[in-house]
Amino acid sequence: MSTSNPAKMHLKVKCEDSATEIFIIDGRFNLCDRGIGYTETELEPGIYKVKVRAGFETYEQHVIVSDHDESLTIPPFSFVSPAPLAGTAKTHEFHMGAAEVGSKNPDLVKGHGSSIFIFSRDWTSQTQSSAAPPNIPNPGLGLSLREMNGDVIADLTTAGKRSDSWEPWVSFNVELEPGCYRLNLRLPKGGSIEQTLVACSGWQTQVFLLQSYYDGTDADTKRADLQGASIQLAPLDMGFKSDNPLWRLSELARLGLANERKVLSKDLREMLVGKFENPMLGLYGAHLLLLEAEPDMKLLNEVVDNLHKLLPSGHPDLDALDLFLKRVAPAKFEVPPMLRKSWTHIVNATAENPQIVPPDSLAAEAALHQWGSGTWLLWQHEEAQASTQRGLETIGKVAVMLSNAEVMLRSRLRTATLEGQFEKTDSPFAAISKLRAKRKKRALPAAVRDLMPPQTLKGADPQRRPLAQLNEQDVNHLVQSLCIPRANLERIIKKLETDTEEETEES
Amino acid sequence: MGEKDRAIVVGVNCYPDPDLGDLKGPEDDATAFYDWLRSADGGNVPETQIRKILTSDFKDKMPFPSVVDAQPTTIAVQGEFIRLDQLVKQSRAAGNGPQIGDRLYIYMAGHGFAPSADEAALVMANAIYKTTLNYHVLGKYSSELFLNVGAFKEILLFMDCCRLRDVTTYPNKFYGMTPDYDQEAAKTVKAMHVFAAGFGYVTRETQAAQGGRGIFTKALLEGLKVATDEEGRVTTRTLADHLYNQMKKFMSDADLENQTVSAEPSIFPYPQFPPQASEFVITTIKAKPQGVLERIGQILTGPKVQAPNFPVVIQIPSSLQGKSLDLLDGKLQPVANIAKASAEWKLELARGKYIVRSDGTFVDPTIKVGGIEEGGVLNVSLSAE
Repeated sequence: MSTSNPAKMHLKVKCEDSATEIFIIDGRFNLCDRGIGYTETELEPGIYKVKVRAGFETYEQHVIVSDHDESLTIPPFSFVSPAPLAGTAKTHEFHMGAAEVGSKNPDLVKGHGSSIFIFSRDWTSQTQSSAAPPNIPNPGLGLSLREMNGDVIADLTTAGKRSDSWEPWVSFNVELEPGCYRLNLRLPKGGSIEQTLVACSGWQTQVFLLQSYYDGTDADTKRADLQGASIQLAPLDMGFKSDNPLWRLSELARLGLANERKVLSKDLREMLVGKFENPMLGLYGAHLLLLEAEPDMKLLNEVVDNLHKLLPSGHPDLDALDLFLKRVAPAKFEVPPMLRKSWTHIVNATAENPQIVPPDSLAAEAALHQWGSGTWLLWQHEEAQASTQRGLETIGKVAVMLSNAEVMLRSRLRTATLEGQFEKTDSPFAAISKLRAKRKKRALPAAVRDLMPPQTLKGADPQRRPLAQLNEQDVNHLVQSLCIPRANLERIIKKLETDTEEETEES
Repeated sequence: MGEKDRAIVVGVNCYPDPDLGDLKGPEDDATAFYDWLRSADGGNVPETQIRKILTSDFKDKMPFPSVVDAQPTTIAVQGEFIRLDQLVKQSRAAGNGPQIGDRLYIYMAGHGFAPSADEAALVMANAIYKTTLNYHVLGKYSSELFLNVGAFKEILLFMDCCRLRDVTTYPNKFYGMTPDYDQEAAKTVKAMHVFAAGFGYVTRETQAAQGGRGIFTKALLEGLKVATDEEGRVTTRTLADHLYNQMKKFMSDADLENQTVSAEPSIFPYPQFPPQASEFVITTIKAKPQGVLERIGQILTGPKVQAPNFPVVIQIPSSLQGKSLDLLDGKLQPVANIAKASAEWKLELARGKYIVRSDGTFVDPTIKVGGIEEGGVLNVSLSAE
């Protein structure tokens, strides 16, 4: 006999890692509540599953709520982090020790005021097999730290401290002037990828890397996993501490951002309001705030204020937040920021102010050769651009090698129909209109022609809007969807106009 | 239901580029989903309103002389979206607004990657991994072309593809189809985008002995048949819950331990907030009539909608045999009792969680009735302690 309106009980779930998502699922597999770090919910008697997620890891436990309140504490669980933190899944004590020692002992002194520490390691298993190990990889292979002009500061293939035994590691610590630097990785089959590393006055930028396969799954394609890097900022004399709870929290925040999960718990918010010691936690927290349906803009402004106090020498990712919040921001971004989310704000701003990203800057170059899609903004370095990842398009009788951005723009122009009047203007979009009007007279590719309704081939629809009349909303849309600064976009269009006019002349 | 729905179904098996390689399951998976769309108990979508694109459509050109000649290509799939877009334009031109149907289904299976955390791309047959991965079709982007203009009341996107990240190519957005966004109409649309794998993860096919089919599509088709609420309705919410909980059932132990293989799908409802705003009924499960009277009743009054039951066998340890056992449902309500338990207790149970109670004590494990089991019966062994 069923009981109507059974008395509800409380279920409290507390996670010792506060940046942990909690899901409560009832006996019919319905999600009935969720929280971050801590949740207290009223439930009818029943069988419930408590599922928690931290980073990429999940843990599940059933709990029966009957005639009394229940309380569950989820211990910290071992998520995967490239930083050799205590209580994480892929680490060894000797990795922790090497990172702690390496972070406090410079291998090179190039300047003063700041420091960069890079620790790249391989992890394959918790315990060493008794069988003879296969070839031990070099976790620093192809990895180098460079000045912004490309000069090599150190090549970790050979530089730094290292261990070549089971689960090898490489560490490199350099004291240098505050500023922007490049972390470059040579890829197994040629070319390289890069990202910005910012050295801040009074801070050590700590970069931790595991290994990943590039261009295949052979052992010789293993290199440092730049996309999955863990990057923290520590006070100059502190070094790395494997048992620092704030580092663990910051790492969970980074993983939440990487997975686009909303992991801002109450504790983490309180930390962001108050003074936080790790500026990277502030940067991750700012972007996590922006993931929410209704971001707390007051808190975001407080976080940015705190970051300015912690990073008085500046940081391109902080500048990007200032730009987004329409505070006083730099007039130009010549150097790409570290975070991809920061880059999105910068690019969006170029729709109205194209000069923000100068077309010949490193930032503009990076925009056209972005690599990957994770937390960090990575780009292919110029020697890679010539050989890999180009779209190959044949237009008429001319085979043109284009960057990926140009391929996509062509794809868009091919499917856009253009009929009707246009006015001659100086806008590059008007130039495209002209070339489209010329192309109208040539035979369209059969595959495209078959898909067009008859009227677009035969005559103009007076209502149809030609490309020349693209308004600012359309421009904004193109900038955002292509994620290319406006100045670059206009250059590409001009190039297309030139290429297509040449084809028209040839045909 | 279904008469005003439309669907685009794609399954790509053959990838001549050696860095991609052929797959076994996508075409069969796409065909199975198509069969569900066509069935009267499923989507009930008219055949003329479904566009299906499979590798085998091009079998007269196979084996393809080179990668460049492989089919289907991007234009084959994008062309179908362009066709729908033309219908939207015609509807508008006729003064009928942008809506051209009730529901749009998009199903795609093949190799894939994830340009971003909330997107998946189906790689087309003529792609070359190292140079022309821009030959792909985006799922979310394609769905949003119709979502953003209110072309349908509901949109369901299912993509049975891997979602590797960090592949270098720009997302292939064929801009220019519907540049005008009807913001107000878009607010009335409900949608759910379901990807087989998490961001950066791969998905798997089952072993050859089990048909070599995508585990996501297996879970999806099971869910569309059994993931009902108490009133026999499969909704976006119950289907999502089913996929989160059941997909791992089809995975091998090795894949479950492999940290690169996704044990759960990625699901994105629209609108995102509040959560219940995006829920809608996908289909209803009609009870099979028992006996002549029920058959006549259903003819007169229509089929009864009811959540299905599943056969369960509970293995009773010797320590509990001879005792009185209660079976409680997910709300701890007794649903069955056995006065003197023997070695096996056979039951038919609705989808949900259950627990056995003996002398006021709960007996592990929690019994999870999630759907159709291999061999047709769920076997559960109670703990002896």
